[in-house]
Order: sequence, then C-alpha cells, then structure tokens
Amino acid sequence: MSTLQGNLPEPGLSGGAVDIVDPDGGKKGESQGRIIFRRFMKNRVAVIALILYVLILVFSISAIGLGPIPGWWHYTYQQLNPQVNQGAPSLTLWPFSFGDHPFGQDRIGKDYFALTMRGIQNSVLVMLVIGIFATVLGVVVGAIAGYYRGWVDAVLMRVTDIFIVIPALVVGAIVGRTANGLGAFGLAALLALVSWMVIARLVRSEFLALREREFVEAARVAGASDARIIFRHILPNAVGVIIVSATLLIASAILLETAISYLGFGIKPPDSSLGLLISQNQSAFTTRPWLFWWPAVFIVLLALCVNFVGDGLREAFDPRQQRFSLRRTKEPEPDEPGTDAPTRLDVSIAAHKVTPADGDSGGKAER
Amino acid sequence: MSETILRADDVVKQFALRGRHRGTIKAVDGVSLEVKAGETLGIVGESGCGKSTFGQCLTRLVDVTSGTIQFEGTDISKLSRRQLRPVRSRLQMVFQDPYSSLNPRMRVGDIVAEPMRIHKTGDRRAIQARVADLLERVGFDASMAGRFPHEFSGGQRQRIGIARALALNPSVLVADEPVSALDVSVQAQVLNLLADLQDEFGLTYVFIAHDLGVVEHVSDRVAVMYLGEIVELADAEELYASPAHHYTAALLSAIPQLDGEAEPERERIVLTGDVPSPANKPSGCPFHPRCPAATEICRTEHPVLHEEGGRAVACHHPLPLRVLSSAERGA
Repeated sequence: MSTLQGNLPEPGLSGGAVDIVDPDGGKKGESQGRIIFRRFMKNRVAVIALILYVLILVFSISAIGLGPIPGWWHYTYQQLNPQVNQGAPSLTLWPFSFGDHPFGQDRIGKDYFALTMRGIQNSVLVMLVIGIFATVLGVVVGAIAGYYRGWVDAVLMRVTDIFIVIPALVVGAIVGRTANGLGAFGLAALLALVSWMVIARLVRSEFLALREREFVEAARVAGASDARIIFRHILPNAVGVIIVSATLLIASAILLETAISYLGFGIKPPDSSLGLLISQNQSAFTTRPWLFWWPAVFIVLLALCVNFVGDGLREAFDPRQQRFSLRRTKEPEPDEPGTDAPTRLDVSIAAHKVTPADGDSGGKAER
Repeated sequence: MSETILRADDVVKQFALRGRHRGTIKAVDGVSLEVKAGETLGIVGESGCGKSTFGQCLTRLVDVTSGTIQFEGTDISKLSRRQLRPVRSRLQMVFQDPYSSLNPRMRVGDIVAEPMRIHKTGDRRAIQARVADLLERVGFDASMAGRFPHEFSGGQRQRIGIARALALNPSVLVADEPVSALDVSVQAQVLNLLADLQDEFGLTYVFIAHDLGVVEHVSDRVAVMYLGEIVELADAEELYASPAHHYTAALLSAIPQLDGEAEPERERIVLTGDVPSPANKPSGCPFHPRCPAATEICRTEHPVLHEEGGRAVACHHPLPLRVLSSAERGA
C-alpha cells in the first residue's frame, strides 16, 4: 500500500477526543448512566415526586413501625379504642396538632391513622413486589425470545399471548377466594404472574433490534459467549426501556392491588390496605366521608408520584421525546405600522441525536 | 508474494425467503479465491452483490451453506463456536458503521480490552498495558481509555474499532467497508493508519468496499463481484488499467475524473437495466442481460472463472488486454 499524498493530518497527531458540545453540558469520561441521572435530576416534577414517594413510605413505616421496627404512634392498627367525638378526625393544621385520632376512627373504634399507614405499607409492598417480579420475569422471557428467535421465540410469545388474555382481576378473584385471602406478598406475587407480558414484549423487540447492531457482531467475532453478549452488550443497552416500563407497571400495580382488595379478594382484615379501607367504608361515604378520603388521597398521591417518576425516567433515557418547545414570539399589534409582516413563529428544537443511516448509503464519499 | 493464508473454495451462502416470495437467495454463489499473507485483497461490487455477506462468511459471522474456507491450513467453515475460538484471535474484522460498532455503554478501554478478556490473554495489568499500547498505536492518548464512544467522532471511533480488532494480534483483518461512512479527509487518515499497521505487523487485509477509488489505492489485488460471483480478479494496477470483464469496464468508467488528470480518458459505459434480483438470477452468464457484448452462448452457458497469467475473468468474450508499459507499472 502506498501512502496518500497531500497535507492531510497524520493519524497520530489528532489524538484527543473532540469536545462534543452536549446540550446538557456533558463532562469528559462521563458514562451514559451519569448523564441520564443528571437529566433526571433536572426534571423538577419527577424529583419532587420521588422525594414525596419516599417521604410517604418513611412516614408510614416510622409511624406504626414495621415488623421489629417500633413506631412512634401510640395506637396499633389492630387495637380497638373507645369512640371519641364519633370518630371524627382530630387533625388540625393551624395550630398544627395530630390530636388523639388525626384521621378519625372507623366504626369499631380502630385508629384510622394507624390503619391508613398500614395500608400504605402494604400497598407499597405490593407495588414493589409486582414491579420486581414482573420485571425479572418479563426481561428473562423477552431476552430469550428476542435473542434466540426462531421456535424459541414463537413458543415464548404464544405463551405470552395466552397470559395477556387472562384478566388479572379474575385470577386474583379465584385464587383469593380459594386461598381465603392471600397476604400482601402472596397477592403481589400472584399479580406479578399476570402482569409481566408488556415488559416481555418490549424487551423482546429491543433485543431483536440490538442483536443486529455491529457491536454485537464485533463481540461475536471476538468469540464472546451468548451469556456475555446478552449481559454485557445487549442488556445494558435495553436498560432504559426496562426501567421505564417497570416504573409504569408499578404505577398500574397499585391500582390493581386496590381494585382486588376493594373487591374483597386481596388483603383481608384485620390487615389493611388502601383499597380494602375504601371498600370497607364505602357505605360511610355520606356520613363520615373522611373514612373514604384518607385512603383515596394516598392512593392518588402514590400513583401520581410513580407516574411522574416514570415520565421523568423516560425523558431522561430518551431525550428525543418531548424536548422541543413551540414558542410564539410577540404578535404584532393590529394598529402597529407594517402589520403585513407575518406572525413569526420561533421554533426551537433541542438537539436531536442523529444516528447515521445504516447501509451502503451511509455517507458515501466521492473520490 | 508468499503463501496462501486464507482460501475460499466454492463458498455458497443461501438465505431462505419465507412468506409470499418463498424461495432462496444465493447471496454468495460459488466464490473461490485465495488471500496471500501480507497482501491486501480488495473486493468491490455494487450494493447487494454479496461482498459483505462473503466477508461475514470468511469470519464465520454467518454459516456458509456449502464450500470450504481454509484459514492457516485448517478448514474453518464447519467448526463449532467453541472450536472457532482459537481461530477468532487470528482472524478479526473491522466494521462499516463506527456509530453502531462500539457499544455505547462501555468505556473505550473496555471495548478494546473485550477480546483479550474473552480469550484470557493475561491478568488485569497486562491487559491494561496492552490497551494503552493499542490506543497509542492508533493515535490516541492512553488516557482516552476512560472515555465513552459518544465522546468521539466517526473517524476516531473507527480507529477505536481498529484497535479492538488488533487486540489479539490477528494475522488477517477483514475490513467490511471500513471508510464508507467517513468524510473524505477522515477516510484518508484511516486508510493511512491501516497501511501503517500493515507494514508494522505484517497484516493481511481483505478490504471490502464499493468505492473503486479507495480500493485502487489500498489493494494489491482486486476481486470484482456481481450477483454473488467473482467476475474478475487481477492485480489492482492491471485491472484498473485494462479491465477484461465488461462489467469491470463499466464500473471503472463510472469513476468520476478530475479535469487534467493524467489518466487516459475513459469512455463512459452506461449499463442498461437494473441489477437482477439474486433470487431470480439470469441463466448463463449473470451479467448477460446488461452486457453490451452478450451473444447466444452468454445466455445459455455459465462462464467459469479461468486464470491466465495471474488474471482471472469469467467471461465468454473478454476485452482485449492492454499490455502495461513499464512506466505505467511503476506508477
């Protein structure tokens, strides 16, 4: 081979990496994980939602305790107490005071604050267990189907289809009936069994796309094993999709738990869950509405928080979505001179990451 | 030239088509060639002529349907994945798209170290030292090992890909369109780097490209592919100066020329029609529907690639060869 003539830069001289201007101010040697974390932290709504979620959880655990952890609240959720002031809530905001029964008492005198806190614990437990179980199951099924394709894929996807047609409520109802009420953990595990399919399909499609990328071929040429390709090359690149869909799954899990407990097939008294509390006290809605409102407020808060966090994560992982603003600059006054100027639209679009088209057409150079 | 290091013998790669257009596509249809140690063999052809698939067959990224591939004396076409592992370290690949060939979640140092970790070539410190060495060899500072691919430009990424391919001290590099995704100035950098590395490590290249100018520049010998077959194979200088196959002549005539270039004026040969689908190849010579010199025999009889004086051509009516003057040889 001869060497090209001309004053082209020598390969050895242009060693440094170009300082690519990242719209989020990327620093050198920063992993994509850290960039995503930084992007997430910039999303104020999502961060506040995450903090609120953790605060609610910590508050509920510290109040009535959990297992061996003692709580600071002086009633337990099982204890029967004499009715005070017909069970009305004693919480006052100004001056702030909890009083004896801040959330009131239910029909038989149980402290409603303790019950609600217990309900939050159970609901969060169910959310997390469903989230983790269903995600693991979905990722395993989706990864195997997408990576190996062929008949493995066909079999796994048909199984997935079958699970998709099974309504979760019916399964929960039947099993809940026969097992005479599952604990929070059992219920969550069962619900996980009927909610992994969306993630499995998403992960499968990610794997189908990623396994054709050249870095996977490069790993194959280097002699990497299937396990190495899956865990080191493909899975880390599918993490965004997995985390986002897991978060959104968790958000729907609390509603599922609530629905099943409301129907009386989930968590049973004397234990408590937010859905169960609503179901037990629905007849009191007109007379003692707080029995309905307290659990409802916390269901809404938890579900909203998780949804906001999920949205924040999705945006952090995929900056191409929703990052442009369409802003209209000052409209010309109708009596201003020169009104024939058209209304100006300022469109600013955040930097899109453009990946070059694959194939032979990719940047052909004329010589 | 020295001994043959890589030899493909009647390699066929078929893809099955399912659904409405059931059938098979012969992407590579009986390709035989030899690569000699230390040379650069260019493979050119239009998009879809099977040159990339053939490259993937050579590195066993895809399984060949039939035929054999001998690498350093052993037939690798039927080896299992486990048996292939030792071969992998000697036969590496450089990929086309530098934006897709580096795992975006891995640091550059890990990307270059990956083949060595798979083959367990040494302990952590030894691998680290080798990574620093390789990065410096392709023109980076060793401190770049901590960076991520998204911090680099296309040409820089391609150099990282080359460092990765060199990690295991291969003897043969199959480069599948290594510069077609790059700007012209960057192309030259990468090509020069490849040339330097060849001199330094005595590498053998199989250089696949659709850009005739690039191939002419880097190759010792050039194979021209059409519809999955080799139609002409010759020394680069001779092939470019005096093509024997009508398809090669048409391809060469399509190279844009600069005014005042010292090369002889070429007449532009415009081919009619499109490349036929490889699923439905023409009978006889695959090029006959578009060939200006096609006769009856071309429609019925498939021409075989026959060698004569170091040049091979598969044509019933080859173009007359122009004998190169000594001045042209020296160019």
